[in-house]
Amino acid sequence: MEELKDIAPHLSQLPKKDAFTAPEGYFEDLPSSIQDCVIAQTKTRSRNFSPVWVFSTLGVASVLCVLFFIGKSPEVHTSISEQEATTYINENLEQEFDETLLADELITSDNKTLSSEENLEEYILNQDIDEQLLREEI
Amino acid sequence: MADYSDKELLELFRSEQASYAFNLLVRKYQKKIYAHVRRIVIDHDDANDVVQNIFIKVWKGLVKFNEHSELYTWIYRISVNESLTFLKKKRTKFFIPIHNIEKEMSDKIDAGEHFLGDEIERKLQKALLTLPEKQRIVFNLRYYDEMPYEQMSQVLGTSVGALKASYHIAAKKIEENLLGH
Repeated sequence: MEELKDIAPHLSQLPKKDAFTAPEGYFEDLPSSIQDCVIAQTKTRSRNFSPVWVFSTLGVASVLCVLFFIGKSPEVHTSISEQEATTYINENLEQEFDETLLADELITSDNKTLSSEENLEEYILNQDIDEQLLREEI
Repeated sequence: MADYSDKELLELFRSEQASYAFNLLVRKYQKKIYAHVRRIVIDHDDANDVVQNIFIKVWKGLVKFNEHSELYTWIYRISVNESLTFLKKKRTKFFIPIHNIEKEMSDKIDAGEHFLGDEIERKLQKALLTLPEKQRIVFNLRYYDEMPYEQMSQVLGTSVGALKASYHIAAKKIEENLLGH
C-alpha cells in the first residue's frame, strides 16, 4: 500500500498474507451449523412467545393452583344445631352423668376440709352465698 | 453457487426463501468475517463462537434491515461489536478483572494452532497485540481487508480523519516494534 511506504517502509515491504487458518472442512460445515443454531433459537422463541402457548400454560397453571389450595385448605368446622347437640348428649352422656357425684366432687375438690358442719357454715359465709336461697334449694 | 449481490440476497430473503438466502449470505461472507474476527480474538474456538453469534444476530436483524447502510458494512459493524464484547467478557470474569489477555493471545500465536505464518508473520501478529484494541481493529480493517476509510467510518462510527490518524499511529508503532526499537 502506498500510504504505508512513508509511515512504515519496513512493514510495507512485507508480503501480506493471512497466517490464521481454520480446521479442514470448517467453512463447509459452518453454514449448516449456523442454520441449526438459528432454527433452534427460532423454535425456542416461538414456543416461548406464542400467545396460544402462553395462554394454555397460564390456564393449566391456574387450574393447578386452585386444586393445590383446595387440597391444602383446613377442615371446615360447621356448626351443629341445638337439637343435634341435645340428641348427642341424650345418646352419649346421659347415662354417665350423675349430678350427685358431680356435687360431691365439687365440694371435696374445692375444699377438702369441708367435712364438719362448722366448716361448711364458714365456707358458705366466706363464699357469700345467699343462705335463704340455699335453704330453698335444699 | 451463483454469486448474488447483496441487493439480490436481500430480495431473496424478503421473498419466501429467507432460509435459502441466509445460507447464501453466510457462504458469501463467512471467510471474510472469520478472518476478521480471528485476527481480533486469535484463538480458533473463540473465533468460531463469535462468528456464530455474529450470523445469528445478522439473521435476527435482517428482517428489520433498512438499507440505510450497505449489508457488507452492517455485517462488519456487528462483527466488530461482537468481537469487542467477547474480549471485554474475557477480560472480566465474575466481575473480577482478569489481567493481560493479550499475553494469553500472544501465547496462542506461539503455540501455532491453526497458524501457518512464518517467524516474521508471528512477530507482526504479536506486535499487533501491543496496540489498543480499537487501533488494532483499524489497522486490521485497513491493512488486511483493505477497506476504504469511508466504509471504515461507517463500520466504526468514527470520522475519516480520526481513522487515518489512528492507522498512521498504529503503523508507526508496529514498524518500531518490528525493527526492535
